[in-house]
Amino acid sequence: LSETKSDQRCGPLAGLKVLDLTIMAAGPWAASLLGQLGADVIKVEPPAGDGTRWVHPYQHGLGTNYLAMNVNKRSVTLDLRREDDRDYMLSLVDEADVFIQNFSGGVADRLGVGYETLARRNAGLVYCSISGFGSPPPLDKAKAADYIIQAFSGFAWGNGTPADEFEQFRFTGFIDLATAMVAVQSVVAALLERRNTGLGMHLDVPMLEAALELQFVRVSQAAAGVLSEVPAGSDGDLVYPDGAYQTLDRPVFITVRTDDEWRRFCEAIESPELLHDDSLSRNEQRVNNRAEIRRVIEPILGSRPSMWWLRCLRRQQICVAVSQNSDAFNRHEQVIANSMIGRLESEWGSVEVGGLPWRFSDTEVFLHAPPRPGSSERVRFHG
Amino acid sequence: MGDLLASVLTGMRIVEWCSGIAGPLAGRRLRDFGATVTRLELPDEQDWLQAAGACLSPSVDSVVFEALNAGKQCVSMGTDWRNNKDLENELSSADIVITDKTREQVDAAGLRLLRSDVEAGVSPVIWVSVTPHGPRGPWARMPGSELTVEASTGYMGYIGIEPGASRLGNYVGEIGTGIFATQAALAAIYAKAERSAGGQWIDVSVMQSLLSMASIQVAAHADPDDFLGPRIRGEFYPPQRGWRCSDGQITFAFGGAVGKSGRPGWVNFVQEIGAGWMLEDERFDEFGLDTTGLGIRVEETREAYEDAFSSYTCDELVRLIREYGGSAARFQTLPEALNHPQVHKLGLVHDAANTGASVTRIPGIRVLGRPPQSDCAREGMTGKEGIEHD
Repeated sequence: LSETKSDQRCGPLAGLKVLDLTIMAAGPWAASLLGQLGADVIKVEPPAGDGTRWVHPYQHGLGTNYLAMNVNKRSVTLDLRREDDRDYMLSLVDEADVFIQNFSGGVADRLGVGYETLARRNAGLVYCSISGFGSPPPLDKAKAADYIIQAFSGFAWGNGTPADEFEQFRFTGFIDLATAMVAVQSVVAALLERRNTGLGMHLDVPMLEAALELQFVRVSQAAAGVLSEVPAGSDGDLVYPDGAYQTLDRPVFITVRTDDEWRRFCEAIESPELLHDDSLSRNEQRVNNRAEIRRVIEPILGSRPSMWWLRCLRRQQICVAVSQNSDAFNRHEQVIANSMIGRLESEWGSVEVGGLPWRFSDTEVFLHAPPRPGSSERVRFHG
Repeated sequence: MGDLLASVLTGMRIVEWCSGIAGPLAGRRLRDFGATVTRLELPDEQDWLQAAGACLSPSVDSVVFEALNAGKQCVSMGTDWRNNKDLENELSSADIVITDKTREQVDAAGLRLLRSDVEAGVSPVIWVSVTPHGPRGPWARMPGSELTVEASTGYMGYIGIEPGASRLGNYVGEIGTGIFATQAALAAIYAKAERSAGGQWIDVSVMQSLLSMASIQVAAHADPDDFLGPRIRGEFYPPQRGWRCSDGQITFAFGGAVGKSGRPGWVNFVQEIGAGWMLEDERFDEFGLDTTGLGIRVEETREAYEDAFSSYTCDELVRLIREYGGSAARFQTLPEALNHPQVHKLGLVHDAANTGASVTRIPGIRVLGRPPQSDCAREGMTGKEGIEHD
């Protein structure tokens, strides 16, 4: 699982300098991802510290949220209301390629780190503002958090069983992390444009846009006026079968995407009646007859244990799985073979984080342990 | 100042040899950044998404397929593609290839030499490989769907009561992988331009994406000092559906300020809504923030809040909570969200009624400002060199 290397100059963005003035999750993980791509990232924390240091649970005294969101960075604590700290920070701005901030509306300007101020010093700076609802009114100043955006954006609407009205995904910070991913995509595109123009820009990256991107499929359906009824329990609406079905011991999750897979599925569950039913041979017909198919296949699947169906369906190259406990699955052979969990030795013990989301054959990427927060050492960018 | 970056990849040629959602989303976004995208269709391969879900009429592809693939060129390989090198020529002449084929499938298509050249950095092609479970390990050749990979990675434990009763309502693994694939392609282009690097092979997978996006939970479960907080306890919560008001549900939080000993926002809010008695209820002081949002004491105090909220509409409460320094939102359906003035202002979703295509722009690319031209470019950044290519 371990992936550490002392060489900070690896990765496709090696040589890039990123100044991270963010706290909590969306901003910090955006900067962390840039660091994982090889950029040199300096996190500037306020004297009060990034609040995630004190968010439960802790590991050896430090919030695990902080550990997870701040890999591949160095850290310095500055009070930007003090002139010497601000001057030092501005000297970093002069060298930086990317500046990321997620202050509440108007605070960046008040602290003297608004875009116009920094762009006058460094016209090439790609300045990324991460917010909840974006810069336009009426909600430009409204506070946000993961669960707020889940509710507002419709994300929670599609979850749950048919009797539910709305249900939150209890996976804290999920929309924050999606926002970070969108921010990195935008920042790298802006860096490419800067190669042609020499000029940076001020990007607006709202959590709301990231939440809608996660809903791309449903947004497409909504725009075309063909939105399905949701929530639909475990059933999907693009292909069918696509859901959880109870077996003798536990549910199995099955997806049948093509008409050929449907034929193989029917063979695997030994159901010639379904195989020869012309009213179900095409996916469109199966999607329109979801309830009927479920009624027919549930007794069949319920007659044998999950291990049987995993075996039969995998032999037929059908998508099938059981719901895993994440703690156990993180040590699964598949996860280990692909280094999908990063394990980093640190002064807080062995820290585990989500693994690198991409692998590059030429510009190799690595994970580095998070920094000790609260340092006053005035670090400089490498090179 | 408009949205932009639409010409970042002008002149670049992307070749897509894949089906489904993740790879085509990456192709769609690279096209939105200005690249030309060509989809390859092989006679013995079918994109399952073409017939997946609703269509606008029986003779056209599905709405989701159209949304992902509108504006891309399509090249159909003839039945003798294995002999005439059409496929190899298309792929080897691309700047970026996006495929959902495994290395074995690529080799079996007669492309072993091209594949090894890309992996060795000899070929100039940037090759993005999108698989369900990653390139190595016992599941490397196993098919996987959004549903099955979410189940494998433990996501189902955070929705519904029992794993299996419900699923996440959106294709977050596929979409997340599409975003990571786009990032990776852009970063590889940057490296190629900045360091005169060659092409390279990039692996992304739905399983890896979902585990990366679970980083907060992964870290919380590694070696925690205590069993506290939603990051470690969310898996064991009942479903969270917010707080009922007179006309719907809201969710809200007051930062660290809940309880009479906290900052005044919450105190003034509960007095405003006629629930000053909450100040004498020690649970709020004791549990604080954990009584709101996705907090772990929500169920214990839900009834108290809902009693107080019952005579207010969602909009009234959201406005009050914001006024008193908290965060709040009404639970909306997706159509309600898309019709909200804030979403209109962002301009993310274009009016594409009855077309089913090109419904969203790239998220996160509204440009709020640019430096005055007179400030001139930074030293060493004047060039037109860079991402232009052959």
